[in-house]
Parts: sequence; C-alpha cells; structure tokens
Amino acid sequence: MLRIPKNILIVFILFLSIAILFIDIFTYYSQLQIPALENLREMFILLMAFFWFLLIKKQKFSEFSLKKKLFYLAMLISANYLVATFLSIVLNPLYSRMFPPRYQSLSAIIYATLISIVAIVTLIPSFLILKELFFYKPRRRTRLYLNSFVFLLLFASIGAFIQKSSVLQFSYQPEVLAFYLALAVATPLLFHNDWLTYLPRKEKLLYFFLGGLVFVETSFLFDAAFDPHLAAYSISLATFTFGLWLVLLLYLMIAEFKLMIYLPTAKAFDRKIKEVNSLYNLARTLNTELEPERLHQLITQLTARVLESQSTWLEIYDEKAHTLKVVSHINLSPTQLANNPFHVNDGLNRILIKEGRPLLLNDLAQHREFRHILKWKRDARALIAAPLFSNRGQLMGILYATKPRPFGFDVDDVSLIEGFANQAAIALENAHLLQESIQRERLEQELKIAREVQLKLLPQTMPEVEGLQVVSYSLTAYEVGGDFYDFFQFADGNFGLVIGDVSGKGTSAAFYMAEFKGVIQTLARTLDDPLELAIRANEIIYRNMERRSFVSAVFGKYDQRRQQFQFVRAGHTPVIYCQAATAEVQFLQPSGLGIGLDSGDIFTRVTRIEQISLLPQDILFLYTDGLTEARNPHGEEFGEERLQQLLAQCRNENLHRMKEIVFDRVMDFIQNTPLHDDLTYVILKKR
Amino acid sequence: MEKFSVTRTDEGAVTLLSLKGFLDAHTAQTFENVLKTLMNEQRYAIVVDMSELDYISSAGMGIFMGFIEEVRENQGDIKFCCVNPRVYKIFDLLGFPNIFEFYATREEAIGQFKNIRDHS
Repeated sequence: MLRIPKNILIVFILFLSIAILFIDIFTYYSQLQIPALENLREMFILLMAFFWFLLIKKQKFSEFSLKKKLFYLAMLISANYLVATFLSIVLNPLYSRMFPPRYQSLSAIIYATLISIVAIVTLIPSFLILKELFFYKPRRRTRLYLNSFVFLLLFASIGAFIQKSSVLQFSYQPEVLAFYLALAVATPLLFHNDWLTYLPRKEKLLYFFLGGLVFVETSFLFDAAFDPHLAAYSISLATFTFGLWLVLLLYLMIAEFKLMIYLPTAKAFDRKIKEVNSLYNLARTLNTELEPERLHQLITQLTARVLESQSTWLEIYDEKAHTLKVVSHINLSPTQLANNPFHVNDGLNRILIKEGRPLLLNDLAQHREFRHILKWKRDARALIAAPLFSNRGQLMGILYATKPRPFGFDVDDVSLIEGFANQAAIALENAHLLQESIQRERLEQELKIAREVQLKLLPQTMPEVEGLQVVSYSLTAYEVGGDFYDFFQFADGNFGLVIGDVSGKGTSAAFYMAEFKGVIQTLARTLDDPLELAIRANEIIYRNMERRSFVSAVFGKYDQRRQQFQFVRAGHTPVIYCQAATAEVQFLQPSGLGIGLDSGDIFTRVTRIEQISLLPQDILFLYTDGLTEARNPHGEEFGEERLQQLLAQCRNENLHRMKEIVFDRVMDFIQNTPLHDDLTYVILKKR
Repeated sequence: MEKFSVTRTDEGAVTLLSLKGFLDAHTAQTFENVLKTLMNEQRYAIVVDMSELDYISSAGMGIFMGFIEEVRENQGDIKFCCVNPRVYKIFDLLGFPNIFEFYATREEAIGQFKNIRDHS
C-alpha cells in the first residue's frame, strides 16, 4: 500500500482542487473544449478522491466503538446536507439542461467545486464506516461482494466519463451494465446489519430516531446537493458518488426498517439479554468466591441489582435448629431484621419449600393470609421469593426480594430469581464442601499431632524390675482413642504402673493424657500407696479437666519385699489374674470410680485397693476396653470370655510370645474391620 | 440408617428420653443437643430409658457428666432406667452407679420425681 505522509497528501489534494478550479474557470471564460485538458481534469478529480481515501484511511475506524461509528456517519451526512443547503442559498448555481450539464455562471463553478469536494470528503469516510458495519459479523463472501462493488462502480464511473452519458438509463453499454452489476453485488451487503440485533433497547430507540433523520437527509441529499452539480463537475465522480449514495441510502432504509420491527420486542429482548448476562455474571462471580459470608453478600447484591428490588435478603436454613436465619440483606431495618416473620418453615415459607419453586406475590394487600408481612414491612407490596436447594434436594435457604409498588415484579423476574437461586445454591454448596474438606484436612493434621504426642507419652523402654517381667503393647486407632500406660517408681522405690483410657478422642485426649502422666509421675515421688495416688490424682484431675471428660485407670504397685501386687481400679477394665498354681484365669474387679467424675468424696468412699501375693509364673494382664470391645465384621465384640480362654491357652508361653499371640488372635478376630478404639495391654509375670 | 436416635416424651414435669442404638463419639452431638434444649426449657427432671441402647462409649457417658451439675443445681436429676446388662456393665466398670441412680422400670424412675411433680 502507498505510504504517503499525511501532510503531502493534504498538499496534493489542495493543489489538485485548485488546479481543477482554474481549469474550470479557464474553460468557462474561454468557451474552449480541449479533450486532453478534460481528460487531465477528470484524472485530477479521481486522483484527488483517491488521495483523500488514502488520507482518511489513516483514521482507524475499526477501532471506533459501534456508537462512535454510527454518530460519525450521522455527522458526516448531516454536514454534507447542511453545507449543500447553505451553499445553494448563497450561490444560486445555474446549469445547462443538457447532459452532462454545463456551467452557466461562475457561482455554479464554485458551487459545484465545493459540493464535489464536500461529497468526496464526506462520502468516502461514510463508506468506510459502512464497510465497518458490513464487517461487524463478516460472512464468507462479504469481502468479495465489497471489492466487486467498488471495482464495478469504478469501472462504471470511468466508463460514464468516456461515454459522456449517465448510467441511469436502459442500455447495454458496459458502464451501465457494470453499474447495475455493482448494485447487484452490493445487495447482500445491505442486509449485513447484525450490529443492531443485540443493541440495548435505549440504543435501539436512539438509533431509530437518529437513523430516521439521517435517512431523510440522505434521501434529500441527492436532489438537494448532488444532482446537477456533481455531474457538471465530473461525470465519473457523480457516478461513483451516486453508487455510494444509493448503497448508503438502501442500507439505512433496511436498517431502519429492521429497527422498527425490533423496537416493540426490544424491551423483552433487553431483559432476556440482561437475564442471561446477569446469570452468567452471577455464576462467574459466585464460583470465584469461596468464603460463605462473602457469598451471602454477593448473592443479595447481585439479586437486588438485577431485579431492581428495593429490599433483598437471603436466609440460610439451619438444619439442626430447623430455622431460617437472615445472613445478608439490603435495606432491612434492624427492627425488621429482629421481627422477621420468615424465620420458620411456616406460611409462605412452607409453600415455597413444598413447591420447590419461586413464588411471586404481586400485591400483598390482596392476600389476606399474608397481611402480616405488610404489617412487618409496609413497603413490601410486591414480593418474590425462591428456595435454594442443594444437589441432594436439601433445603439450603430462601432468597427474597420486595418492591414498594404492587405488580413491581413480572414473570421474567420469576425465572430470573429461579436461575439466581439455583446458581447461588450450587455456589453455596461448593463453598460448603470446600470448607468441610479444609476442616477435614485440619482434623487429619490434628490427629497426626495427637498420635505423635500419644506415642511420645508411652514409655520408650521396658522397665527392669527385679523378680518381675514386663511387656506391653499399644495400637493406636485411626482417631486416637486416648489409651496410655506408664511405668514409674513410688517414693519407697517400688515399681509402679498405670494403664488408662482418657475419654474423648483426638487432640484433647492426647493433652489430657500428657497432663495425667505428669500428675502421676509427680505424685508418685512422694507417695507409697496406689490408693492414695489414685485419690490425689482424682482431686487434681477433677479440678483441671473439662466436666464431660474423665479417665479410667488402673494404678498398680509391685511390692518387692512382700512379693505382692497392689492395685486400684479407678473405673477401668478388670485386672486379669492368671494364677499358676490353680491354672485359673480370674477377672479382678474391685470397687472403684473413674478419675475426674467426682470431686473426691464419692471417689474415696467407693474406691478400694486390692492386694495379690504373687508366686512364680503368676501372670497379671492389664488392658483397655479397646481389646474386649474390638469388633469383627458381624459387629460382635471380642469380649471377656474369649480373652479369658485365650489367656488360659497361652499362659505358659514365653511372655513376649504371649504378647504376640494375644495380638494375633485379636487381629484374626476382627479380620479387616478397622479398630474404633485404641488397643493397649500390659502383661506382668512373676519370675 | 440412623445409628442412634433419641425420642423425647414429656410426662408432666418429667422428661423421658428413650435412647436407641449406639451412643458414641460420633452420635454424642445429637444427644447433647437434646439435653441442651431441655436445659433451655428449664426441664431438669430427666429419666433416660436405655432399653434400646446397644452401646455407650466414654464420650457418650461424658455427655451425662457435662449436664449433671447444672441439673442438680436446679433441684433436678438425671435417672437411668431399663439399662440392658451389657450396657450396664460399661456403666458399672466406670462406677457410674455411684453417681447416677439406676432403676429397673420407667415408672420407678419417674416415681422418684414425685415431689417435683407435686410442686408443679
């Protein structure tokens, strides 16, 4: 493409127009007809038009908004029309009646020159804008049609100059055929007006009236401005202008006609577009927001904006309390919030929930059963509400909007709020699920910590006790059940042990365990008696533990000198005593109360100490309920009886082997059922 | 299928709660909510019928501990009745019968609140 600087183009155009003017004045006064000069002049004119085209092309119309394009077009045509009208009043041009017309006054020369320049200056950019409109939604052949049109029109224009005749006649001359062919190929372009389909109603109205004005101007343009003058100035220019003008006029006419047809439905169309857009916006906005509180705000805000409602509020259903609570609102006063009649599944809400779709009340004053709503909120004459249901059909909440004017909402609003409610429900559910999974992850993390704490609290090595063999086993359930055991020394130097189960699970159990271990370790240093230890521990733990938590434990002591095992059962499972001499397996369950249940009186009264004199090969089996309550796939518990039989069978095994046998048998029993509680046991054997 | 359920029946000033199924750490919240409601309604004479309770864990027993103080401060009590032997064993191991009263029948348990009923 030619790249000529702007300034040079302007100079060229000015030079050419002045040159043409001189030629015209010379020809007029001399009355000479020099064909070479005429040809040169015509060439100048076409060159001038071409330079202007190059100049105006630098203006990037494609970057204009549609609105700007249309206003530009209107402006150009109006300018042309006004200048032409003004000049014809001032100059009163006269021409011969033949074709092509000849100047009959100097004013005609000036007028024709000016009007031709104006025509070039306005119509070429107008056509470029028209091209933009054709290409708003280009089709396969749009460019071909456009190029053919311009080419054929140029051909017709030059042909008309050579023949010195108008193309507006019926003949088989090539330039005439070319002209009509040009119009024919331009015809499909006339219907390329997709840009106006999606215009908002207000713009449709504006363009309809503006377009009407421009259409009238354009239709007068030919007679008022162009008719004899342009032909007198240049036949080729006149032909070309005429072609452009005709296309412009027809295009305007068809667009105007289409606008007129669209106008009555424009409002509905607008609403639909708005509905689609707002639903899309809602979905997009809601999907990016994961904080439930922010989501609630967004839902009410967007609903209010689209429904243009005066008051809007969202209530969320509390599954446990079976009530609805306002979580976000627009334009509800604190009194209205406090007295909100919509917090139960009653009346209006019951209908909404039962029907499962939106409800529109055009005029609350007309509904006797809902009068109380008006009492609550005087300006809620029209009310629209939609329930929010989760994917599983669970009620999540209700979205309400009101307007002070009766019949303020219509059927479209119903489908709109329904769409909104659906989108909102999805977004809320997603946010919910995410929160849950975050919560779950945090819980997992907590459990991991709890498990680590629990493992660290357990003795890392087995104690060396003279005359006593000790083994232990502990298996932590997935959720950390709170089992623990510990070995220590009483003040008199005798071996002490504690096995226990802290109620509750997870982190809190792990912390109580740590506390309990500390308390026992500290108390044992100054005490000799397991019962005293249990009583003192209960006092401390009762004061420092949450009311609903407690510990069941067995405190044991092996008295070396007396070869005696003394123990206290503080609400814990029995101690199993396998007497070597009688081969009996006994469950010893002396009276006792769990730690942390009572401040001290009952505990002291109830809890007893039991003493067993041990003989070689005697075994004591201490365990937590995780062992006896281990369940198999049928839901059966392992139970005391099985444990008793098992211990009777394996009592003569090596102690470590015995420990393994017990574990294996329990695992065989539960098969692949996951443990729901920790499983712990400690075995003592008199050497 | 519900693992656990509570049925509430008010008999005058006494509230009878019938428990069914498994009361453990997972179902404890349901039961706790029921007791919370009773506290809000200031109903402190409570009989818990455990004839259909199959299992209770330490978390389940902890719920009773969590409310008993408030109940007794208000001259009320939580009494148990119809506990099946397996569940009773769990209570017994922990020493619960030293803290709560256990009765064989509902009528017996409710009868213990006679003085309260007379007042109301």
